[in-house]
Amino acid sequence: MLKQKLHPFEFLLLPLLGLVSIFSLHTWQGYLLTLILMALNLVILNHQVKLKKLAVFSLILLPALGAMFASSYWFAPADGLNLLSGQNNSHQQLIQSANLTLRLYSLALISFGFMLHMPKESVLLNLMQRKILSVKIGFSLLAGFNAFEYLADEFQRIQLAYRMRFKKNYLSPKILLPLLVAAARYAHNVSISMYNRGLHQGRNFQQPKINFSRYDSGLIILNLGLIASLIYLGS
Amino acid sequence: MSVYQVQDFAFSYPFSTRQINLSGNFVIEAGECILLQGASGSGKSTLLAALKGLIPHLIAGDLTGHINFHNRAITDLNEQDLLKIGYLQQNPDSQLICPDVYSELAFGLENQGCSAELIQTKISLIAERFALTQLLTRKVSSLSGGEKQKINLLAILLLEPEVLLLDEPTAVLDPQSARQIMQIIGEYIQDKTVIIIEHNLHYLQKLVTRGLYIDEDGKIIPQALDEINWLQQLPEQACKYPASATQELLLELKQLNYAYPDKQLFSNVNLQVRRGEVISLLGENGAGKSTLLKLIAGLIPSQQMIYWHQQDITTLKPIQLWEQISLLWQNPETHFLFNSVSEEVAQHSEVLAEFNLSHQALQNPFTLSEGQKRRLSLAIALNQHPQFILLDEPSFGQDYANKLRLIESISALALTGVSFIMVSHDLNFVNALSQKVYELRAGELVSC
Repeated sequence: MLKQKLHPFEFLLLPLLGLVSIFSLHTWQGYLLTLILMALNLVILNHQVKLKKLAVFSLILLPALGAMFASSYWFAPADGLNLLSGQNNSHQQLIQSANLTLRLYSLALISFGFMLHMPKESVLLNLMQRKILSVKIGFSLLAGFNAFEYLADEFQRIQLAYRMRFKKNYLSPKILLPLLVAAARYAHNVSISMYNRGLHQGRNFQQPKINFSRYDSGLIILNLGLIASLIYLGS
Repeated sequence: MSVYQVQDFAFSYPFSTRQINLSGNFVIEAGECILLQGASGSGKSTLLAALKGLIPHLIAGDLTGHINFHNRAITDLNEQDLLKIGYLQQNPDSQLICPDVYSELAFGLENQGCSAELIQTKISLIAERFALTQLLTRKVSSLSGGEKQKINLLAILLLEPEVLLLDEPTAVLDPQSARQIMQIIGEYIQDKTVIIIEHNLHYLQKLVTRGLYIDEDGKIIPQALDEINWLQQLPEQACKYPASATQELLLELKQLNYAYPDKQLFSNVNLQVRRGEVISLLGENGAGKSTLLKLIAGLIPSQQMIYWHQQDITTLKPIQLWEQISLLWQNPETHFLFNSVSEEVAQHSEVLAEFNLSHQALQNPFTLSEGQKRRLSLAIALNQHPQFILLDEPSFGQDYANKLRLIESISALALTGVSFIMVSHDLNFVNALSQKVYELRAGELVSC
């Protein structure tokens, strides 16, 4: 019920607030609370959160996060105050590295999580309708979403043809050549199709313009309040 | 009243050495339905793009000669004028812009500034007229190739163009979808001007009023209706089963089943292929023909149901199997990886000579004509010396002359003992080559 009432732009505004919060905070507790807040927002916006995909994304991030933690622990300059006082700073470095790693993870997870659940077509149409985004770019992106499946099929066929031809299981960068040609041909045809149907900036949109409801404003204000409190407490 | 006047059209593509030089003049009158024919690479599609005004408005290059639309040079027309000319391309997938069918149909009308109410009325009328109302709420990605092409066509017809230019609209469709597309065109063109490029001429016999033919020298020649080879009969049973064949059994499918997680694709499929045989496989889009080819090629695992030289293919390593079996996809470009034709066949000039490609040895494979590309993909497969070749729609995009050449090549290979399983919608082509024809119908393999 609430999901239908919320504006698709919430998928752009809420993660932006989350990113501002992460950039403004400096402790792992702050990052964790922001992550929880953003997760709640995601549940409100999209009742079926794709947990499996988020888990896979987190696993893929693991090596990068590990490298980040190790490099900041071993190579980041030690805290100046600790150096002056001559205290052992290894505990401080551990906390600092954990903070940096969690900060990176939070930034990546918030961006990916909202992007994954975003109703992309609806967001793009609304951006074009409000003339925030040029129709040439917007409809090219929409056509690009349609192209994914076609190009994925083509890529699979190219891979299989390569494996059968060279009797190898590993792939060469050469297989990108036919894929590139297929993508270029697709783009050429789509641009002809748009031109052929008279695409221009001053066009109408048959979908009624969706306005911000009081639920939308309420959710934004609530998030702003919570994030401002977090930043205040963090400072 | 003349719609088009064309005089000595020539065009050079940017960043390419390709030049199209067409000599001759022709006039197209209102209400005519013109069939434009010519050899592969003769410039038919380029001419059609110029008649739409894509050249030079969207595709820059050196243009000479004259093309007038209603006595005005096509170069002087603006985008609004050019909307009077509808243009449908060959590939149904790559013309779709919007996520769902309704938005796709509304796209052109929105560009024309129509109100939401008018758009809804127009779309409802056309969808009812062509019995497509049930498609309106569907995602475009969920449509079949035939449905996509129908939506592309209707999206253009909704703009009520005065002229309709069709560039092989049925090339990638199964016969049933192709007939439906032609039915829509037939109903629409009562008082419109239509120029159509098409290889499957039997669909057009009742629609076309006149022909134009581009010969090998680029000369545009008018064709009367009785000069057009409508049926394009290919020589039946051109491929003779080799008398010397040992009846050696190469491949056997025993009780083959395959199912997706939510759907049984086919079951209890039995088939035997002997050395030198050419077997064809028919069936609607989505019947599982390509999946069957992948199973035979060992690209999808099977369990003790496919035997190669009487040995279960699951006991063979894929690499062993691929030394003897090749698979050629519908789009020959899928197989091209190098910058020149000779590199594609590892500099084996005798293979190029066999497929009449010696003159193109230094050319980039992607710049060959459709017929040459198909022959090159066969040459690439033959370079591996397979005993068995799986062909997915080999006659796709090929004109009559190229089909004849292809039949010649496949027949010659079959005589040397190479066996083929061929998936095709082209019944003439199938009849010309196959010793046995099967159809995948409702999950079963039926002999035809």
